[in-house]
Amino acid sequence: MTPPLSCTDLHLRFGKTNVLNGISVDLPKGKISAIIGPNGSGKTSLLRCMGRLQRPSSGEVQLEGQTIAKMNTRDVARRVALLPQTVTAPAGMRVGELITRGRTPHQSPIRQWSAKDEKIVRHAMTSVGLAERADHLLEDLSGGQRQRAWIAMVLAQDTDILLLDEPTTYLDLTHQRDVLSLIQKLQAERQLTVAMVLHDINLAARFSDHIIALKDGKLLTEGDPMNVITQTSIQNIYELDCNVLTDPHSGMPHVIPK
Amino acid sequence: MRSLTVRRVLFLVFLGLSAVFAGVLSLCFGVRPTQLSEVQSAFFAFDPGIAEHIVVQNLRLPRAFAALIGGGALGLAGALMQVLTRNPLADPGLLGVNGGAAMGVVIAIWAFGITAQSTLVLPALAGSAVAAGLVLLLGGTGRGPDPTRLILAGAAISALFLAFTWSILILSRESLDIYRFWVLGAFSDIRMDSLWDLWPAYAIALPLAAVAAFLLDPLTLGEETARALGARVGLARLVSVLAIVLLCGTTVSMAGPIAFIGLIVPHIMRSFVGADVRVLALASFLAGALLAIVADTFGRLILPGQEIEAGAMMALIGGPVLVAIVRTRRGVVA
Amino acid sequence: MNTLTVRFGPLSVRMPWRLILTNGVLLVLTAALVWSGLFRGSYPATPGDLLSALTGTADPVTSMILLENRLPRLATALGVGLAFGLAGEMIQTLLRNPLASPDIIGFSAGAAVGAVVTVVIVGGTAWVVPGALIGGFIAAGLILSLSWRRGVSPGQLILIGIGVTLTLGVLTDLLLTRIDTTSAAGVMKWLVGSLNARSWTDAGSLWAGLLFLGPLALWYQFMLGRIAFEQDVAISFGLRLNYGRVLTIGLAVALVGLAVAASGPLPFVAFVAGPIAHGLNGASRPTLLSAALVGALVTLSADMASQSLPDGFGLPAGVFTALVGAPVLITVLVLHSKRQRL
Repeated sequence: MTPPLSCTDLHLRFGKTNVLNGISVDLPKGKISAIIGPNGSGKTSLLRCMGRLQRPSSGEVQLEGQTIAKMNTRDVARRVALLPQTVTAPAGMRVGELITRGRTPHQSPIRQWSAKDEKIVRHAMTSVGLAERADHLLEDLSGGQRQRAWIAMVLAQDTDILLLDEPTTYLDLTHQRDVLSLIQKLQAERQLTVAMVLHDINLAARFSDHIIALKDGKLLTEGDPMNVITQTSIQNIYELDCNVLTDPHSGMPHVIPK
Repeated sequence: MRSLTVRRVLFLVFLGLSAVFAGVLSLCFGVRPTQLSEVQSAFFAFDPGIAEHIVVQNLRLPRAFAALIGGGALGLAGALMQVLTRNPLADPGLLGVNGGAAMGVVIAIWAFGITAQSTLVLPALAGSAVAAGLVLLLGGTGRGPDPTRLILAGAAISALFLAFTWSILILSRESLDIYRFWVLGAFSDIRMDSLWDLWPAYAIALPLAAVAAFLLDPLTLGEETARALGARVGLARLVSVLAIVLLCGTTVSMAGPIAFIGLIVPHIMRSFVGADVRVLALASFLAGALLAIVADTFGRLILPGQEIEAGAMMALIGGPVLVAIVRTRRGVVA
Repeated sequence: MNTLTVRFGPLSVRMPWRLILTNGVLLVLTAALVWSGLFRGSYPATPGDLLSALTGTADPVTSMILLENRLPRLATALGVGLAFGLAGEMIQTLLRNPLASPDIIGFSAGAAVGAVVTVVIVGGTAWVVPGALIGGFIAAGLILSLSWRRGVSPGQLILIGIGVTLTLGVLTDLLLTRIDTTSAAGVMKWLVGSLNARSWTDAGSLWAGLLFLGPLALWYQFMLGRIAFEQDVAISFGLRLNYGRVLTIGLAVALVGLAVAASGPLPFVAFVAGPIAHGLNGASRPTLLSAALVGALVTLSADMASQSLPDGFGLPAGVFTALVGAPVLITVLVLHSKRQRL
């Protein structure tokens, strides 16, 4: 079976710095993968390459066996949605407007707002719990609400693959959990393939089915959280002395730095 | 200051020394080339019987002073303007001073029959003061001037004044005849007495600009961060706008509108000295002065028997230079 | 919802009510100005006169004034305004900079140099228009190609645009001082832009181009707003940024070219149309139709103002575009920011 999205020997250089050093990795179908690693390990660059926002210096990304660089970018947009890390909407934009923008790859000047668009946007809005706030200005929302609005925008794109860069930045504990459970719930409902960059290794352990660990632009290890998140591998990845306990609630590994 | 590395200090010193050196050299060049020793004796052993001495003291010296201070003022104002508005298109003259000065000049020619370039300073100053006042009034809010509003108000007022100017120019040939030379911007007609008239304005504007640079620096991190750092955003903007208006208004009155320095020198300097507003302002001042004096001198030499105005000279050289820099250095694109 | 949606089979169009209202009001105002330009003034006429002039039964004076004088002039003014308004809004949206106008892509600056160069060469103002068009297209092409680096980036375009237009502007000023005063005055008048004595040839070629480019621009409006979104988001939406940017700039240059050929540069119309349209719509989205109508209104009223002056004050319309546009912009600015503060 061809994986929904696979990377083969990705290299990425900016001037003299090597950001990615030959990464080959597949996203498992219908699962949530978390990309982890220390700062500067190439997490975001990998995600951007997967979403064809960044053209790799060499190597290629394939979408179900097709080379993404050679595909029509609109077709890609109907199958892959990506939420960058820090995004700002134009000033004066309202929640409903923003989420509607997610329909762009399915729209054209004569197909501006089909019944299907309306249904999907409404569904996206409800599933993140912002249905009552469609007419609010984006800048009037709290950080958590704003993040949910952006997630709703990529959901409205209605793709099978979702790439998220740090979806929990700026969020407090509750909202971190809420946003990630939301992603988990939506993923289960629609059998999405999700890849997200996460800083917090414990959140990654709890909310993902698959861990991709990077270091210095290389793939260090990947696999099931139970197998990847161990004392030795965390020491390898982060050069951090730690204990790994078991979360009594979820049964997943939990890292506690020494 | 951490942003004052050795390399940057050396660069600033180099700029300053070059400007002074170019200023001294400029005294030697002109229709009548003069030996440096002759220039020296023009100052220390002045003889009213020697034509060179008169030329150096009465024509070239005020001209060099004007180019140095005027160019520096425009560079400095440009740096402040771009930091203030965070808009690479924002020329300091956009705050209405250029349009106002032009209108003052044209009215003076048309209504009062003033024709000598050197007597256009006061009408220009009056015009730019009126225009800048209007822009400030419109662009201000209760909490200090708002950059976007300021820009749009400046553009609107400038256009309004320009439209009046054009009306007069179309109705009066004499005005057009003088205006078309004035608008190029030149330091050639400046005499010591106009410098005497104007120096108090610079004496107020330059320290004000220095204060503005210090106040503005935290604003480069964004308004919110600046407030969090305890910066007084409204005050910083007010002081900067006043400094910009004063610097540019005085300079345009003295030398006509010279668009180039304020717009481009700060861009180029940013790629050399970084984003620290205090260093950037100083570097832009020095580089503006250097550019103006070099352009003024070259304008005298490039065509035998003819003179190309400094403002024109600068744009003709500087435009292509800017394009080249933008194309080769990515970092400049702020 | 405060939006109107029209669906027909697989087709659907969507428009906020406020935009519809604004456009309606602007349309009515434009029509009113055209009406009064046609039938009022120093030689009043009635719609009946127009009808009989069209059917060839009116007296020759009425017929000449209406058909050969007023109609082509109004048609030109209307078309020029629409074209400048469209081009201005497209460029401002693309560059996300309220200070940008089609001026930044160099057409006007190039046109001015071209115009003056023909005067320097020929010695009179006969060749001004072709010279201007050639200069304009060369300058725009130069700026676009210089800022090309695996695509067009708005930041690069702005800086290169400043560099080139500034040099060209000074070149114009410099050349103006090297020709005699009479020619300088002639060029000056052209540079300000005028709608005096336009013929059906002027209006015809303008409208032929406009009827082709205008719909194209309106068609593209839907994507234009999304292209101006943050770059990463726009790419992940599957928009072809370079294609869109080049198309936008190309359309804007062509529109400005048409307008400049018909009336001269008419400063300020393109700059002012967008901000006024935004203020009226209270929105961040591109509003090409509103901007085009605002451009038309500014141009038409400027032309009327220039005609209403007593004889002897032969001021061209270009002087009045700023006189009309600037106060409106200022009013919108003041109203707009007041609402934001509340």
